[in-house]
Amino acid sequence: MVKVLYFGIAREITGKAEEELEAHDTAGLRHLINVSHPGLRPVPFRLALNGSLLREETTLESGDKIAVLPPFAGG
Amino acid sequence: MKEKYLIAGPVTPALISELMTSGNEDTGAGAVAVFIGRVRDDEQDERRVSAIEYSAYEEMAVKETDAIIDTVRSAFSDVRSVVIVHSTGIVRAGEASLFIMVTAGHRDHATRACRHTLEMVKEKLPVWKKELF
Repeated sequence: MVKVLYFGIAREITGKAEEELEAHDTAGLRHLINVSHPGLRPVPFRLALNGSLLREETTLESGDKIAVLPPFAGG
Repeated sequence: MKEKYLIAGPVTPALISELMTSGNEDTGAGAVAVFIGRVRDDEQDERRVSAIEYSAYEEMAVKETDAIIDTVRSAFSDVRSVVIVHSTGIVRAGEASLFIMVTAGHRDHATRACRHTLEMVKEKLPVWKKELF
């Protein structure tokens, strides 16, 4: 199981700040997120693994923390 | 001591004053460039923004801000310090939500590094906003 954190509009759409999901890689996790939360499908989110932005798909380990990051809007 | 880059609420005038005078002992810094970002009362769908609520992924924001500062210091050799503070929570129109200060020996690197820092903050900081009316 990995911990999935939701931020910004993703948190509003899912109604959750975080949840635990079963996934072995980020591609599988993206699919699971889109199935579980179809409202997120139009949102072009990126993923961060344990606090670092992911630039390509990767495998996941139990206990990993994945953040769902909609486009940033700081500054 | 870890730098504190995120604060709850607006970047207040008192904090800005404190940050701007914190490096006074560095007599080698001949130039100080500052950017202050404020909430603007934009009109959207015939409603006027009264405030913005900011949220952030704090763990990642610290890493990204550390990296931004390292990048700026490497790219601009004359830079002596980089300060970045971003608000979380509610900031009202007219209040400041972002403070960037770069000190350098001379004005060229101070001003260019300040602009470069701003652009990197907007691109890389995991911060989100929600307009309030």
